[in-house]
Amino acid sequence: MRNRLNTRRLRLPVHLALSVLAAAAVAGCDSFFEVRNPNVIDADTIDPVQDGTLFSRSALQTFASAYGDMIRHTAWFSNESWVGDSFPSRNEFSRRAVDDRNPTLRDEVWIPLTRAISQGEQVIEILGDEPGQELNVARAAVASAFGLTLMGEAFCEGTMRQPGNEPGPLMTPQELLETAVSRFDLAIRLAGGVPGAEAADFLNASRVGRGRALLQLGQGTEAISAVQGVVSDFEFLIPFVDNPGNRERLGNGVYFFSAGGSRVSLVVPPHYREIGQDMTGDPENPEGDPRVPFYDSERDAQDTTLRLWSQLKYSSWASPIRLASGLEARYIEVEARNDPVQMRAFVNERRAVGGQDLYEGDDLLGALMDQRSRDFWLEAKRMGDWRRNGAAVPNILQPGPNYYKPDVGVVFDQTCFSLPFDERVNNPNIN
Amino acid sequence: MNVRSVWCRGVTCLLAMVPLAGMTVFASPVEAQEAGTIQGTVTDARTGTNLSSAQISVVGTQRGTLSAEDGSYRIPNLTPGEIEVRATFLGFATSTQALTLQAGETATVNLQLSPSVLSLDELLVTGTAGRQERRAQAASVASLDAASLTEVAPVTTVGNLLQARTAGVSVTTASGTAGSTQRIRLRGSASVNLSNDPLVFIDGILMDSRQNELFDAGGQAASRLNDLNPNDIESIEIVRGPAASTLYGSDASAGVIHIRTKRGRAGTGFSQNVTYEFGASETVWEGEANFGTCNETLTQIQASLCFGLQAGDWISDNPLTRLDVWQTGIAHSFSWSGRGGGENFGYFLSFYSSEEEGVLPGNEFNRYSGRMNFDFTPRDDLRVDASMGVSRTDNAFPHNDNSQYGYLAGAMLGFPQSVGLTPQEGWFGANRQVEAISAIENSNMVLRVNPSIAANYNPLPWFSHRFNLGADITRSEALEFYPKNDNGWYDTDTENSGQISHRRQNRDQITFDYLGSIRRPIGSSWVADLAFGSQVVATRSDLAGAVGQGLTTNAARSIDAAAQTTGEQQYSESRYGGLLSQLDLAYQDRIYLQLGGRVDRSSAFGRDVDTFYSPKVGVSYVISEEGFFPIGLESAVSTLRLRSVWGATGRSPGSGASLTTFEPAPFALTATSVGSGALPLNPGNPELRAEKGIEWEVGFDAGLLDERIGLEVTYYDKTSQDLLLRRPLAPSVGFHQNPFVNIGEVKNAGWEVGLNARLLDRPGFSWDARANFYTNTNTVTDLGEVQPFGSVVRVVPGFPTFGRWTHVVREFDLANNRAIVSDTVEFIGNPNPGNEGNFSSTFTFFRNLRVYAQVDWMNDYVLENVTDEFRERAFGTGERWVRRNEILSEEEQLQRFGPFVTEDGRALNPAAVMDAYYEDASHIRFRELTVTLSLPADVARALRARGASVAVGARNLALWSNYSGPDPEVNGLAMQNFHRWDFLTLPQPRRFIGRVNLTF
Repeated sequence: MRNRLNTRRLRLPVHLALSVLAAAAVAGCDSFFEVRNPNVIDADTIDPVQDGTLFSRSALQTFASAYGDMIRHTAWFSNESWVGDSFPSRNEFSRRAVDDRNPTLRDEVWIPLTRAISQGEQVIEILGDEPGQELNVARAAVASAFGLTLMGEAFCEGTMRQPGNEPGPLMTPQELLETAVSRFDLAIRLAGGVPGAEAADFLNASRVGRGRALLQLGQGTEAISAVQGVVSDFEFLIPFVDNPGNRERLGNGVYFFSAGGSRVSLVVPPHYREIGQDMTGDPENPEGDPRVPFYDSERDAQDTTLRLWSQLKYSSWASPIRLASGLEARYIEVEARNDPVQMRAFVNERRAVGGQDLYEGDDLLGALMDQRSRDFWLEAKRMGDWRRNGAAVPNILQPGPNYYKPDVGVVFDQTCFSLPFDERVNNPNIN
Repeated sequence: MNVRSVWCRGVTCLLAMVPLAGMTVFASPVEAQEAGTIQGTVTDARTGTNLSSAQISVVGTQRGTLSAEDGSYRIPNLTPGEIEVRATFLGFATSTQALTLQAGETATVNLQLSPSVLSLDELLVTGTAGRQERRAQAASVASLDAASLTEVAPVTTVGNLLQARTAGVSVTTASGTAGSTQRIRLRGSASVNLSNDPLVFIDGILMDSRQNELFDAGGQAASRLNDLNPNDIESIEIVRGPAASTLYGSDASAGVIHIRTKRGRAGTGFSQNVTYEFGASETVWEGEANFGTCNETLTQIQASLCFGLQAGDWISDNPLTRLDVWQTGIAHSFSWSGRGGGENFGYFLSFYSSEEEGVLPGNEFNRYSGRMNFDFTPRDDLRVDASMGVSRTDNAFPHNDNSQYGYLAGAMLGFPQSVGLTPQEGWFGANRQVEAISAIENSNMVLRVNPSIAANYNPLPWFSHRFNLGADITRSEALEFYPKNDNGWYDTDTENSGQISHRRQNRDQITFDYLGSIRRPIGSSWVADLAFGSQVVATRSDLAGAVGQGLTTNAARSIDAAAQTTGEQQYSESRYGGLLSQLDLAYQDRIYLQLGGRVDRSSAFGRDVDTFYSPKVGVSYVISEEGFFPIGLESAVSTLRLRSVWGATGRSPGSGASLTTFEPAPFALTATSVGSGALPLNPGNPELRAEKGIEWEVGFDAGLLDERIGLEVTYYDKTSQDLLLRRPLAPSVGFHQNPFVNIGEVKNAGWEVGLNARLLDRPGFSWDARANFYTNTNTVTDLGEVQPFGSVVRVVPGFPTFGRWTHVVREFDLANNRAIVSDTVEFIGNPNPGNEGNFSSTFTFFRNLRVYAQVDWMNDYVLENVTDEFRERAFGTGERWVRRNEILSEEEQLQRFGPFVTEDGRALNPAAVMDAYYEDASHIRFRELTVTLSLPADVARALRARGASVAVGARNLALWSNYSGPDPEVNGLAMQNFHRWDFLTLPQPRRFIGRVNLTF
């Protein structure tokens, strides 16, 4: 009996102690709350200096992806291509009616472009003074500089990341282009000191890019100087890969919207079909300019309204896109020098490439722009040409009720892209 | 390695607790005595009808059972002495009888239960620690008698069970596609960026209730909640408020739904129930015709719809009806269950097979499930419950909503001018018709296993333990297939070359909890219940997928057979755990004070595990049992309980949300080689904490007019503090994700009124009615330093979260043919209903014919009619656009189509002016009607059954609404947290069922 009583007395403390132990075991384990998340990379697990090549190549690829986006949207905006898409926000590009809340402007133009610039800038910031990282910094500077050039050419105003991941101030196109020039300078300085073909490519591409930005700034003499030394057959091609698992980042973004992607909506407009070379099996215009190759896909575009005449300049996910070239250097020099004799000779040289007769008119700048629009078709140069030379650039869609899809709205009079609302409202240096 | 992590690593923590738990359970000595038995019958005191599945228990022990089909019960192996036998049953007042049981005696205790619309002695499971009687709960907990509902209502899914049944529960149907999900909100949406889905438990084990979409079918998804067999469910308890804080803590701010499955019946014989149900779904809407205008050429072509008309005439075409696409969705299900038990054990077994077709081809929703619940009471002080649920769900969704490969998009975005002339034949897409759409396969198969074990142990009359350990193991397989074709059916070359995609996902979720409870009297008037325990939930999800593009033939459709292949993997883990304690003080069994608290930790916060505290304090006062009551109200108010509670709950983001991260991002080296790269993903926030929901409620429960009417009224006020917002960074900074910051505040407040009445009770006729009405006012009260964000769905202080905003038309400038609109966007409406209600009635004739009907409504919210906007503005095929000059006034045309100019003279795109397409979606729906006839006993006997019934019923019988689309209740964005639109979304079909039920 005594033992029994003793046991009963022990029951409560034993149960309490065991219960508290059972309960406390749960919350006491820090390690229990340590979980794996292999889908992301913890910043503490990488060394940005040691992984400088990885980050600079990533920056250039981010630019490559944004380049395809810029080609598409500047083409739609400047009537270099028609938009065969049902999204109103994409048609607003073709209607030159892109307001600052346009989701396509934000998601498919501004964010990709600014990510390319910011990633380039981040690499420059982290690796800028590190010995042995010259090629990586040059690579990142190329990405940032061309991104800034495209922004300066296409946007009415812009901004860029500042050191420490801080947002930057509002910048005019002139400021954007001047910053681009400084990044090209950096790339030229660093790449010039590194041996090898890749460094030479960065050097020459930066020279051409620098000339492009200076020409856009109206500094013709400096532009001519910038492109000196670039050989005429130089081409800096952005490589793309047909990787079915990551086509949005690695694939040719122009092909994506021409034939490969889910919304085939990059339609070759009539004024390009008239001059270009029809590569369809039973072509309408087989003798056209080979610089503007296209074909009849024998179907409608995504909007089921326009017939899908597709470009053939980029025929696969893996088609590279030219970013800079000796040819562009020559164009820059000819335009900047504005020498009628030289310009006429150059225009006729280019017309011969396209199977055209000699040019005998007086509108030499117009003729030069016509050749540029063929040579650099779908290379995101037309917005800069238009803003630089205005009416000399052919086939800009004029404002009014003349949109090629009659039920979709009128053409506004915009000449550049607005700064997106999301940037304006979330950037404390702007709002 | 830090000191704390040395003694306990990872899952060993969890495993360590199992033997620990076992030690506490089996530490007590066994005391053998000669046992006694009680037996008897449970009946309805009003009618004398035997009550099946009433819960009979011996107070203070783990002994108990459920009454059999004939109301009988038997509980053997009882320790002789003074015992108290209690019977509880939803809808009836609890009945208790005390007796002295002699050793070896078999005592008969017949229990009569009086109907009661307000059962204060009902025992609750969800959100209760310590005392479980409803009368002791300071917070309102809603109970749904699922077993009864499935008998009378045309319910086929758990979503049907929850929809429009109780106050404070808002269920939005995703679409009319069979098997598609629903959005469930309890007391509104408390979070902006985290999930507002409530937690769902089955018998104490957290279950996977995701809206699961492994391949995009335009926004449609399946709900894992609907994997369950509704016939397995005994009851559903819904915790909408602070009651959730103690037991569910840091992740329960969106509320808790607790599903209790049917249990065995110890001491009774074996009984079986067989149900066969046949159903047919019919669309109530056949799609809208496309309109177009003829030109001169078309009028000359014989095959064209324009042939014989004049240029400028309009034509119309509805490809869905022209090609007879709609179908009758046939459904049939078979359900079997058996239950019974022996001297000290009970069991419930079930099997369920349900196959259902939708009203569009390619839509199937098939479910097969089985359940075994076993309970064992080896001693007076120990009860062990083990259960195993197994289910398989197969569904196939045709694309719909925001998918150009959907039937509705294909048919309603087409151009009638192409009929007879081009391969489009009036459909949207280059060459896509029914054949192309129906050839797309999109199927999901989900296997689930839900094992659980629970032990209730009372080592001392005043000391009890409860352990729960269980898992929800889900294996999903999904297939998406675009057949190879030469017709250019699909948009991309890769799809037209044949594309097959597989995804397989493993998801495991383990729940362990322990709850100890000590009850001691304090003096003669007070009783204290101290509960304490812990809970751990660990979740792991691993998805692997592969895509093959370019098939040689459609028959050889393995990934390996494709020309190009690619793979993917996604993996995530999350864990949380907490310690809890609650003190209940009862004064003379009518005043109850609750004081609770919980401490949680979660993997959400990366390396530095943060701690979250959830306090709770509440009071419940059954004032009608005071001597001074009823103060002259005796004829009107027979029961009155006052209650109020304040508490805090939480919600945590995904694991590692506080960390600075990069995302893998490859780069191209050449046209054929790729390197691995990285991009900035999230800048992180080391100061991150869980969201905290501070909530209070006050209300009363009243039994009126001799308990003929039960009334529950609650006012709630919930403030989500430390709201986790993804602080929008300037995009130019370059991060892919915005970081979480704890800065915002959202408030939800409203009334919940529930009325339960027995309006007529005559020998040959009775009329029971239930009504619920509830309101929710959701307001963003603070965004901290974050600027109001969003464009047309915005988060702005002082307005509902993600309310609808647009430029609104101020006036019509007919002289200049333009609409003048506001300079800035203005608030248009609430995305979620401001108030909802439902009313249902059961009419019973001669005790064997029951007619059940339900009407429900939603008010005060807007739905974006994207279907009309797209057809009219982007495609120009809507009737209102093509025939605008005939059917719309000038003002109406300007309102819908513009051109729009702001008051300060800026031209706006039509997309910025949406007030014509944000429509009032308020509606009333005649939801359900069922007629159930219990067949006479001799008919049942002829079928060798103890009972038999037949029922016919229908769902979605009628709809009243000013909304111009087919169904204001559907939401093509139901998987999203807030957004709501109708974009080519399939309306809910009308569904008819016939049911035969036999009991053996």
